Amino acid sequence: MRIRTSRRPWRAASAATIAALAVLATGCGSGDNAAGDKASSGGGSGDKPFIALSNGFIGNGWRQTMIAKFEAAATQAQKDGLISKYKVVNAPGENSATEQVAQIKSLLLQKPDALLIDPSSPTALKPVIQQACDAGVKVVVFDSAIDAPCAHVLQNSFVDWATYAAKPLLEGIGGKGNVIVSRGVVGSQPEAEMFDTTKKILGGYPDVKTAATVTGMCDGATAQKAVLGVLSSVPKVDGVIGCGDGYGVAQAFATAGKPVPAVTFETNGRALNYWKDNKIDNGSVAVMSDPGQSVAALWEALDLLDGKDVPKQLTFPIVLVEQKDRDAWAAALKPDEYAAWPWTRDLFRQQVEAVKTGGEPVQPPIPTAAG
Amino acid sequence: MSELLASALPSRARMRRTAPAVVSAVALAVMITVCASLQSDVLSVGGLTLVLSATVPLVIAAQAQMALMSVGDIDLGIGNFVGLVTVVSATTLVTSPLLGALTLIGLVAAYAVLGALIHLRRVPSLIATLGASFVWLGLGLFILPTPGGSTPEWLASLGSWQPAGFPAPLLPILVVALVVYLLTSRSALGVRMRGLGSNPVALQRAGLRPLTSRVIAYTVAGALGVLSGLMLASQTGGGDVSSASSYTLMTVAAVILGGGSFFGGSAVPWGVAIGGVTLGLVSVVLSLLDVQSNMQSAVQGVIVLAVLAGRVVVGKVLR
Repeated sequence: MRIRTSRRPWRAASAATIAALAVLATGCGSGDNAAGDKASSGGGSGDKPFIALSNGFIGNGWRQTMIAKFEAAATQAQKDGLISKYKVVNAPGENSATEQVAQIKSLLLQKPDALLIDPSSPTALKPVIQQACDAGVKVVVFDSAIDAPCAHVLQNSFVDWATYAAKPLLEGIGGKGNVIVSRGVVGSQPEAEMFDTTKKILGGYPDVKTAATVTGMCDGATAQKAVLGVLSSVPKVDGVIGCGDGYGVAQAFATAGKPVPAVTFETNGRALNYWKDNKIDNGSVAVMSDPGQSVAALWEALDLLDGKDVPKQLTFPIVLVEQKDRDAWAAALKPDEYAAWPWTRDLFRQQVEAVKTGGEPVQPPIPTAAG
Repeated sequence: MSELLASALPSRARMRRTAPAVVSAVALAVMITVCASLQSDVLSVGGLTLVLSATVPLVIAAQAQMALMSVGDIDLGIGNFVGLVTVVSATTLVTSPLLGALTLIGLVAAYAVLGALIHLRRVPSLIATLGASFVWLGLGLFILPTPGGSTPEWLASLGSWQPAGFPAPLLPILVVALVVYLLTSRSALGVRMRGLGSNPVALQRAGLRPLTSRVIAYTVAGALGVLSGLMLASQTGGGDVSSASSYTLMTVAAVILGGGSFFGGSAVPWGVAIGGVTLGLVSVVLSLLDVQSNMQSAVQGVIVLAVLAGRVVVGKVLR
């Protein structure tokens, strides 16, 4: 009895393993005709394109807004018959490049016509992007630059970001006084670019003294702690130049019982409403990159698939909310929703023209209702 | 008859060892079937290459984890170690290949020393490897503070190698599993390693030094970790010390899925290969199934738990 019970599962075990191997083996066998399929579907231009989006990280409000905007635009495009279907995959975990590489590979299996990527790493996706290009997929990388020659890149200018964060604020405080500079993710390339710009602009205001420089990581909670740490050791502060961390910075000043100076707010509903409700009318601004880039990338992919000429590098305008526009934006946004330019296909093409001719960037209208 | 009995008794133990791997193999077969029914191209050479290539570094790192788990230790530093190797291969290995190769050999030696320290000072391996993981992380950040660099030509071409009629990633998975199998299950060294895991006293009574066994296990783990890092670098085309941090716990899961045990004494290289590929395929299945993106991590965890539960049930039935 004992012998029999022991032998049967062992046989089942080998059978299962053989089955698994057989599945793999048949896969090897059917290679030729599958390659044929690929060629025919890639060449077929009659049917509508399939657009895939791979996002490296979903854990913050900006990325959530970016995905929501894309899904809304893609659903509409599907209804309008511009695309056959779309698909969004977010890599799980903490901005892991390996996860995203694996996900892009499984996306490629589904043979999208165009692949939009919000990358988790400026370098690690290079080989897989090359692989996608070799398979005849149009690749548009947005939100961050990437060193892949075959991909089209659509991004916001970090120089503009730093300029808009500093200039209106410095003008708002009358071009004199003490400021704190709150740096972003120190060590990343965009931050280096932004900090250089900030220093350059501060150089143009000799009456403005930099009282302290802290690392706020572009994150309200981190900036709050960092600013609170230096508040007692600095004189009266007139402004805090940051990168979308103003809500936390304002909280830090409120905690310390000091008047809130001019800060750079996040562009989400919560921060804008806080700014509005507390009547912080002292030259504060809100500036961040545009989550609507995902939608612009969709239009870019469609134009590329139509064979239109689009520059490899596109710089799109950043979202700057000044005091005059604040109430309009605040009314249109949910607390965790970030301000995004509502790119339409026409606006996208106008902006491409502006990039080509070096003209003024397009100013899309401020959305009126939430969603 | 007596011969049959004699051969049947060890085979029961053997069966108990292989049963978990069979559960994983079944899960793997189911996943491949599901993938294939949704997207028939998964079964083409190109499709299999795409699906399997991302799992290669994970599977090799899991073999490293298994080498340590066979002596009853757990490595909490393997993820950062693999990340550090990608950093070295994206920097030193490009600028001066000799120095880079020496650094990699030095890293293997560091693992051997770590094993000796753990044995001589009687530090729990959990603590020692956790400490080491911060050392790997620190070294990686020191060499390359932000992700970047480029891999040597030969490594990049290895990553993009696509032979006709055969999915390339299957080759490293099978070769590494075979080598580890020969080493741990078919050689005297392997018997000593497993002996240390299951019964260190017996090992000592047999006149063999447990220290040697542990150092060998750590050296094997270090070498496999370096190999895993090189494979990862060939795929990502650069170095990033935190690129593989998720491997630490994924490899433990792969070993358990493959039939390994937390208490040492078992070496299951084929099971680990199956377990690692199974883990890697989960995200492919979910992506093909159109699982809502925000839910993917959770569903992934549930599938892993289900396979582990299957393993436990099978283990109970066989007891």
